Amino acid sequence: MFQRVCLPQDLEAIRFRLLSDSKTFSAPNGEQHCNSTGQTPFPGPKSPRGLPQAGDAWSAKPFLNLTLLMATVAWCLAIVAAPYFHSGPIYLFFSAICHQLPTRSWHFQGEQLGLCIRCTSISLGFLAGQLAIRTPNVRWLGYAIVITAVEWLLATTVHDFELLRILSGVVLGASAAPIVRTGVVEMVVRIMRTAHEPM
Amino acid sequence: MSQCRECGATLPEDSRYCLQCGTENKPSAANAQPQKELDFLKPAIAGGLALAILSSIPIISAGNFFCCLWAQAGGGLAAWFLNKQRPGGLTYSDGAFGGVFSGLIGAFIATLISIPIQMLVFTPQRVAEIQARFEQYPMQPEVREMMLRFLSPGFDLTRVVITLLIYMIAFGLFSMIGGIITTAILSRKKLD
Repeated sequence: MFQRVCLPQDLEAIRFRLLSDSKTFSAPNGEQHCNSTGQTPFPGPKSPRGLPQAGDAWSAKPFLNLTLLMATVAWCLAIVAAPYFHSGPIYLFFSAICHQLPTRSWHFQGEQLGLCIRCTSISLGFLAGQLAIRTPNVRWLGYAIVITAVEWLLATTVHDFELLRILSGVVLGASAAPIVRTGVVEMVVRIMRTAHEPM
Repeated sequence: MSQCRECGATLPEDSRYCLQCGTENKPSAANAQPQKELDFLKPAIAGGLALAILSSIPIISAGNFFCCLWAQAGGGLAAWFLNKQRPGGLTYSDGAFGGVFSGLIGAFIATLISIPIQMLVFTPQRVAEIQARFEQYPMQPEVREMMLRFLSPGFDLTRVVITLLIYMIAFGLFSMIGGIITTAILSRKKLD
């Protein structure tokens, strides 16, 4: 267990030092901290209102990842919910981001889905990327953008290959997912830190 | 705060390894210097204006039918201007904030621009043409009626308010994505 109180503002530095296999380390303010078990330090004292301190923000990362994953699942379910529940508001919202052409959309129970095949594939690829890919890779995203652009050119000039449209959409969504997840989590952590900073 | 040189994730100053990709973080002279505060307003206004104008011009606005391309472009433009303020020192969250702000500003401007454009473009003849095309779409009559109400000629305050809400959500979301992706690409270019 800790021999000194773990200060909230040192939490991030302490956490990374633990992961670097350091047994004895100095916090940025010079205090000595020892961790004989190598376990994650407890979050630290809470504010009088019961809110977590700024140092807790980074420890919320797994929760934020899960929240983003659930939001993506909800988005994908909404695509199918539009025809299933005959929901005008869902179709209306998706009409702002998709052409919703019937010839370019899958159908469910005789009605088209809320998004076209390409947009649906991107959404499903985004979901798959969140589940399967941990490390952001900008090079893969670049390749996926090029593939999608080439597929679009082929579809508008030569012939529309539905399978190619699906594959390019899935690859684009999957490669963008870890990058977007990193950015969203960092943004929320930053908001949490700013909100909990003492005035 | 420093940035991982491999994947661009934000790291505390004294971290030795990146949690995202495991790359060893060697502190550099650039990381040790205090970073300049970013001005988000001007890049957000620039991105929002570009997004709103491109999303309002007939025919060109069809670009938004590809995953809100102009919204992502607006967020990307905001991230690019932010990168000019702090070359190579932008974090993903900076790009995300720039994108969100540009999306929200763009939503307001696009809604304002859409009011006179809709009154000009959606004449009774045009609405009748669109209605005839909607008859071919396989959807429930109530859904079709709701969609057509949004294309009716003239000014409708309810339509303006709902358009603003939809734009704020859609543009805010996709501009944020555009800002994050642009930041990742610009950081990668700097690392290369």
